[in-house]
Amino acid sequence: MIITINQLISCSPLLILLSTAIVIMLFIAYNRNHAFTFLCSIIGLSFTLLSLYFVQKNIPTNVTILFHIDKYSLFYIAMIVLSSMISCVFAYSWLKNCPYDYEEFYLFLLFSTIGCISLIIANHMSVLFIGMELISLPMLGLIAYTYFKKHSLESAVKYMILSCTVSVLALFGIALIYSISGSLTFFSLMYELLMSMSHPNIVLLCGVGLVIVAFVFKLSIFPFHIWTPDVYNGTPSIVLIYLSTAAKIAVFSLFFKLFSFLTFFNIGFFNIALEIMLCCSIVFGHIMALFQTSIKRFLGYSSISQFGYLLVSLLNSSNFNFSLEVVGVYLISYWLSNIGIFGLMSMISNANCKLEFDCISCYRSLFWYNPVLSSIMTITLLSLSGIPITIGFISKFYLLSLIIKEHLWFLGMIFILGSMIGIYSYLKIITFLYLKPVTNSSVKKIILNTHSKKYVFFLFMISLLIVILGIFPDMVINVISRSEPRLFNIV
Amino acid sequence: MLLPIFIMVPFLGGILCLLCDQYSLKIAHYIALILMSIVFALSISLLFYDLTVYVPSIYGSHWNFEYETPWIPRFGITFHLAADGLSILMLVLTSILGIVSILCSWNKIKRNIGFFYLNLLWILSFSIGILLSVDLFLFFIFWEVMIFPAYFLIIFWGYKIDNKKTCLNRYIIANKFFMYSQCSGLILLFSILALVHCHYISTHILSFSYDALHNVHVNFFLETCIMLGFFLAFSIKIPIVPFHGWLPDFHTYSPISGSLDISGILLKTAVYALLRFNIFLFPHSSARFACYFMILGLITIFYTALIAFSQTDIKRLVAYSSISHSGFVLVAIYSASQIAYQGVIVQTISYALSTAALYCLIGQLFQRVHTRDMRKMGGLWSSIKWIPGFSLFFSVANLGIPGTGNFVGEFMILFGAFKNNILLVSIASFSLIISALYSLMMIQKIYFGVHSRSNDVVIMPYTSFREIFISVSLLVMLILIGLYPNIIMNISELPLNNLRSVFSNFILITRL
Repeated sequence: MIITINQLISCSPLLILLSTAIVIMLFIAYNRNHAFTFLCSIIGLSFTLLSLYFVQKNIPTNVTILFHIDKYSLFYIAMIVLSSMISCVFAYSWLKNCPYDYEEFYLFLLFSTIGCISLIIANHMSVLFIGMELISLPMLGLIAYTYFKKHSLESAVKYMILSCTVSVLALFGIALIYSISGSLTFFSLMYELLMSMSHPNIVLLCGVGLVIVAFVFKLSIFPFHIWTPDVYNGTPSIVLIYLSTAAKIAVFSLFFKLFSFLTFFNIGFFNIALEIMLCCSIVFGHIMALFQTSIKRFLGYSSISQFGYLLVSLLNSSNFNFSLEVVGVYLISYWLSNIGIFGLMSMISNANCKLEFDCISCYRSLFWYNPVLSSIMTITLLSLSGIPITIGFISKFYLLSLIIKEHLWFLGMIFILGSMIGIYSYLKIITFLYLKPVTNSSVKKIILNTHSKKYVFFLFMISLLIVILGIFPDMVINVISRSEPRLFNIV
Repeated sequence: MLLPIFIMVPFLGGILCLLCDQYSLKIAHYIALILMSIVFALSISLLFYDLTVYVPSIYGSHWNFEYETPWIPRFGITFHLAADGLSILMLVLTSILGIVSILCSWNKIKRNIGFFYLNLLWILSFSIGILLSVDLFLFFIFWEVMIFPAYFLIIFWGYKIDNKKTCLNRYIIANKFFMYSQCSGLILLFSILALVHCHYISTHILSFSYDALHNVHVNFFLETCIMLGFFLAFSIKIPIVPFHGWLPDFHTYSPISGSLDISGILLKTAVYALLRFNIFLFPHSSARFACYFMILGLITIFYTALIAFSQTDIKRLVAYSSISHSGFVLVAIYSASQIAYQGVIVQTISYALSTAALYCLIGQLFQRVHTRDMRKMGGLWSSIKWIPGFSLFFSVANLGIPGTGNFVGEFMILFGAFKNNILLVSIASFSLIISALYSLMMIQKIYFGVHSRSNDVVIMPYTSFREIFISVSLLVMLILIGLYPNIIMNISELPLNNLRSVFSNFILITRL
């Protein structure tokens, strides 16, 4: 097998991250130094970001049969690298409070990022499986990083068992596909589907179905959503910055590729199943979110419904260009608001020494002693609920126009219903921020130290960005439409 | 370039108020007042242009003033503002009410003055945006964004009594208002997108422009669905009876100036939108549904007028009476008569003025008596100067006494609609008796009758010049409109005729 220099450049994001991870590992073995590890991982991540510029020049290409890189995957890679960078920055001061070694945090993060990137550019079933495992195994370490905390181990074990079960199912599905097509590339799967279009092979479809179950589990769509709130509850907010954005975005990007292909062949069963799943997750996620008292559980449930909305983009009959735009805008808005809200939470719990501020009542009357923080939180929550002049609204607008374009009237009803319940549940939290402070001082007050001022500024910029992109969405739309949506090299 | 100024001046002025608040205590009042006066002067100056338009072809623009700049080219959305006589009249009304509400809250707001004026001016700015925008996306954005300042007004400066339950209620009511508005907004967005999509299918041009969208050819069923969506969204805001749940509660808990804004500005934008969009964009299906909507209007008139009787809170009473008047507007809009349409404008303006004056007076009364419960008042006529007299005048104006604008509006509506809907209008005219009854009952309970015990000791302070000025200026305007309604009608005739002529071609088929 010959690998040309162009191919090497094309997969340079992976290579840079791998070498960074190796350097960090070697350095940990030699001498532990927190600041160096932090710097090293930040530099590695920024070089990865930089390398995307060079990658951009010679794509789309195939790197061996395993990877396929096009402009659209670059867009997702950039988002993932940025979010792991941000979680590194937020983690730095948080880890200082930890009573034991903290270099491994960055290692876990880097490995998981490698998994995400390889999943995005995957063109082969083995990469799909390895990528998924590479995301979730380091994630276990991250979730259980504060194992001395109350729910930490519980959620890690829960995540591990469920995720392993699903991985096994996916592996079985891949085996079934292999038994029919005799090869593991996506191309052969498509070829096989194309050949048997009139009378589809049941074994093959079972295999595809099982792989889809794995995806749906990772995205926490309705019947497979049970892990999400519990895991969100036990995970430190800093890990959640990463978990809620990077992992889900990576999984979704590949899911979109595969599924859009399936609809291309008009396999009706998958469409119907998907429609039921997404309707249920929109309604169920929002309704359950209403009754939560912990803000992390709330966001867990709301992320279920958020991805329910996003799956609407898959129900497309003919032209996927518009869907790709929808997905791009939606993911950017989801990414920004999740970073905003979890960044805020992690900063607050970090400044208040080891107290996890995840109870909604902790944020009661935040406005009256810290208006800046409360306005950041209000903007991010409003963006999540999709209210005008935030980027969240633009993504909702895109989704609605897609629904109308495809004449999915029933789904439109579900959409409106879900949004109304959703707005109510977000509004409940926002109201808490503006309640008058109670006079007795039994409530924990949120105190910020001087160190967290920088983070406040950063979060303020993010919330400002949410608003600016909401008013001038042209910038986002241009970036996305310039990323040349092309799904597969063959289709 | 003139039109964006109307939106920008209050918008930036609000921010200026917030920034200047730290340096001086009272400066925000003056900034807000001066800026609104500028807007008022500008909107008056628009009236002095020649407002007749000669449309050279069907594709020519029929707006007097226009401003357009691209915004989101991906969806064919432009920042398109335009005004004709109708919008200018509403603009003048909005700026008058803006000035009144600023004067009204002059001494009452003690904390966070800058932030208060930010919210107040933003409500004005966004409602001006609603009145001027002719791009449906832009319209929708203003429609939705206007909720926030109103929401904050009620949360921070709402009805205050040191009582934990009232405090919590205020948040619940604010959320209720927010939810109702959001429902209305979502339905509106869905309908707008459906309409735009229909337009796209037939012409392959993606556009949200009002001028482009009124030529869409849609099948009847779909047009009906979209029209009902628009109607539902607007009727939540007007409000029409089954959807009116939020309004009285909102009035109960909002600050005086806030509720003045809501009644005068927010609700009037919905009437304007109904006139501007529902009838013009969907003449066919509107005509088919006209009689149902008129019956809905009739139910609104009687139901809320009867409910108003059982109120003990003055503000709720006035709120219900204003819902009752909006029923008249609905009847008039769907009667498709030229005279009734003129009446709608006269009535909208004069009712906005008279209810605004009533809310102001209630606020002034509340400052002196510290209650809004009518059962606790009585015999106040002799203990306060000026206010009882003004209250009497405005409540009598509110029930439509000849010589005031309200009479002209009501008369024209009933007269115009009578020709084709004899039964319906004759039933509707009986509601005037009910409204006379509850207005007089209100006056009687507050100002006449037995002195209640608690009021004996209260010494009423002197009525300030500012308070008299508000009442007198509104009074003069009402009488002016009542005696010479042509100042309104001359301006609104041409645009209203354009709207009506589209609609009346269809309505000839269906009559009650």
